[in-house]
Amino acid sequence: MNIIRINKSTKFYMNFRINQSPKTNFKMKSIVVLLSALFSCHWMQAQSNRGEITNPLYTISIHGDVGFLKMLAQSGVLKKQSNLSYSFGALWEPGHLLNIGIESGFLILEKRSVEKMNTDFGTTNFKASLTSIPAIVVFNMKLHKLNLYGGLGASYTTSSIEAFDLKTITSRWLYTYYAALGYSYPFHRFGIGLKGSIYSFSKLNKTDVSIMLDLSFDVLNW
Amino acid sequence: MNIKVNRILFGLFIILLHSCQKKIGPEDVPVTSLSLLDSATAVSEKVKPLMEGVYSIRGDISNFGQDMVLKWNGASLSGFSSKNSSYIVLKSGEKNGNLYFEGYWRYAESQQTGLISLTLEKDNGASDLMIGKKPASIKIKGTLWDSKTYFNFEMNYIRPLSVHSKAFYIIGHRCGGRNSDRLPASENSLKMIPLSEQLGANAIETDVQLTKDGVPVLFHDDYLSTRLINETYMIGQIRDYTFAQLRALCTLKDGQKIPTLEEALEVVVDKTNLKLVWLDIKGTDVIKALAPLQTKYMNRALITGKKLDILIGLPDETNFNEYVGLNISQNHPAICELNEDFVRSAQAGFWAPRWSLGLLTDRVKQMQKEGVKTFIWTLDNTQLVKRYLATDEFDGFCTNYPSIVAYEYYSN
Repeated sequence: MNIIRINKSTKFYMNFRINQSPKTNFKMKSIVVLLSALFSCHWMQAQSNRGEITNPLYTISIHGDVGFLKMLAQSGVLKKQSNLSYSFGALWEPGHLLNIGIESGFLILEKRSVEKMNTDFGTTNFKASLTSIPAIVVFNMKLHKLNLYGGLGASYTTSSIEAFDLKTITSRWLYTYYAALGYSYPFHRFGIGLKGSIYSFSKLNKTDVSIMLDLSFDVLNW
Repeated sequence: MNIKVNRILFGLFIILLHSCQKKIGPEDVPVTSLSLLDSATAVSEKVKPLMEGVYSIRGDISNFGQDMVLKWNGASLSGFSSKNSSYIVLKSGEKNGNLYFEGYWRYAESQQTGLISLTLEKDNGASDLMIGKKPASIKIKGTLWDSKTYFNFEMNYIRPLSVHSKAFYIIGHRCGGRNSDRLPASENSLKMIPLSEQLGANAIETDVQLTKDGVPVLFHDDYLSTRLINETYMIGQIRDYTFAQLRALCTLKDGQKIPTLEEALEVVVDKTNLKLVWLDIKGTDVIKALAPLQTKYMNRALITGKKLDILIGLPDETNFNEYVGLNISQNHPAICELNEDFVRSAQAGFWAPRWSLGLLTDRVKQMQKEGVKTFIWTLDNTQLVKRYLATDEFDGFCTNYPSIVAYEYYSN
C-alpha cells in the first residue's frame, strides 16, 4: 500500500466574504459573542472595583481533559460517531473576574470506516478521519460554581483518506471558535469536574460538541 | 468609556458581523405537481424566432419590471426583466392550438422564487406563430405564485430583440454562476452547463485542475471545503487526490459528482448551443493535459455543424510560459488575462482584462484592430453592465448573472 503524506503550507483562511457559514455555525458564533459580551461586562466591572480588592491572588493553573467528542451535522442532528478526544490548557487568574489562557488538545472530529464499499471504480475498503490540534486563546470566568469559557483561535486540521489501496493525508489551518461550560470541585490545589465544550471550524461548517472529565492543578499561587 | 472598552466593543462588533453570515448555496427551484404540459407536444421551431422579443407587463404583479425579454433556448423559454434582476425559466408545450409554458421565477440576487405559468392562446397570436407568420399582436396571459398568493398578469409584444453589429458573448462564470448565487445547480457542474443557457449565457467560463493521477476536472477553489462539497473529511487540494478518490468519496453541494473536463465538453457539444468555452487554468501542467481534449471537442462540434471555440485561459505568467513553451498556439486558441504584450507573444486570439481596470477604450480598440477579441471579467453589477454595454467596445462579458446582461443586451 502506498502511503503519501502531503505537508501543506499553513495558509490561513480569513476571507470572510467567501466563507459560507451554516446555521449551526451561526448559533455557535452567537454563543461566543454573548459569552464574550458577558465577560467584557464583568471585566469592566472588575476594572472599576479594582481598588476594593485588597489581597489580589494570582494563580496559574493547568488542566487536562479527556472525553468524547461528536460532530454535529449541518441539520443539527447528531451523527452517530463519537470519538475519544483530549484537551489541555493553562489559565492565568489575575484576581479579577476575567481569566485568560490558552487551550489545545487532540480532537478526533470525524472517523468513519466502510468495508467493501461499492463504487464506480470497483469495491474498496474506505477509511477516513479528520483530526484537529487547536491553538485557542481562551477567556474564562467563574459564574457561581460554574466555569464559563469562550475563545478564538486556529486549528491544525488533518484529513486522512484511505481507499483504493491509497492513503492520502492532508493538513491545513482552520479558524476555530470555542465555548465551554464546566464544573470543578476544588480539593487542595487540585480540581476535578466535568466540562462540556463546543468547537466550530471555518471551512468545515460543522460544529463539534464534547463532554470531558476535567482535572486541574494550580501550579503557582502568589 | 475609556479607549480599552471601546476597543473591546469594536472587537465584539466585528465578531458579531462575522457571525451574522447566512447559509448560502445551491437551492432547489419550485416544481408544480399539476402540469399544464401533460399530453402537450413540442413547440414548433417556426414559433421560436417569431415569438422572441421584448414584452410589456401589465397586471397586479410587482415582481418584475415594466418589460421582459423573452428568449428561447431549445425547448425552454427564458425571460429576463430589470426589477430585482428577475428571470423566469419555463418548459414549453403545444396543446389544442395553444402554447403553454410553466416553470419558476427567481430574483438573481436574492432567494425569492416561485412558480409561474404562461398561456399564449390561439386567438392571441399562437395560430399565426404556428404557421410561421408574424401576428399583428402577441398577448400572453400569465399567473405567478408568490408565497401563498397568486397574481394574474398580461404580457404584450412590443418589439424584437435588439440586433447588434457584432457577435456578443455573455459568458457564464463557473459554468453559469457561483454557489452563493443560489442557483439550482452547483457551480462548475454538468447540470449548470445547460442551465447557463436558460439564464441567458451563450458561453461559459470554467475552472480546470488536475487530479493526482492527471485527470482534468472542474473545480474552482484551491482547497476542498464544505463551500463546494458535502464531505468534511476531505480538506486537501484537488491534486492531492486521485480521480477515483474524488469521484467515489465526495459530492458537490447539490449531490452531483465532480465532473471531468471531458464530460463537461461532451455536454457543451451535445446538449447546448454554447458558442465558447473559456477554460480557466488552475495550477501547473494542466495545459498539456487538456490540449488534446480541446482539439477533440472543437472538431466534434464542427462535425455536428456547430461553431464552438474552446479557449485555454492564461491567467498568470506561469501558465503563459507553459503555453508558449509548448508552442501550440497555431491549433490551440487561448485567452490571455495578462497585458497586451503577453497576448501578442502568446498569439492568443482573445484578451481578458479585469473590469476594475476601467473601460480601456484605446487599448481595446487597438487589440480589436489586431484581430483580438476582448472580454471583460467579472461584471455583475447592473449599473456597470449598462455602462460597459453603452460603450459597445467589448466582445463579451464574463458574469455571475447572465440574466442581468441578457436583459440589458437584448432590450436596448
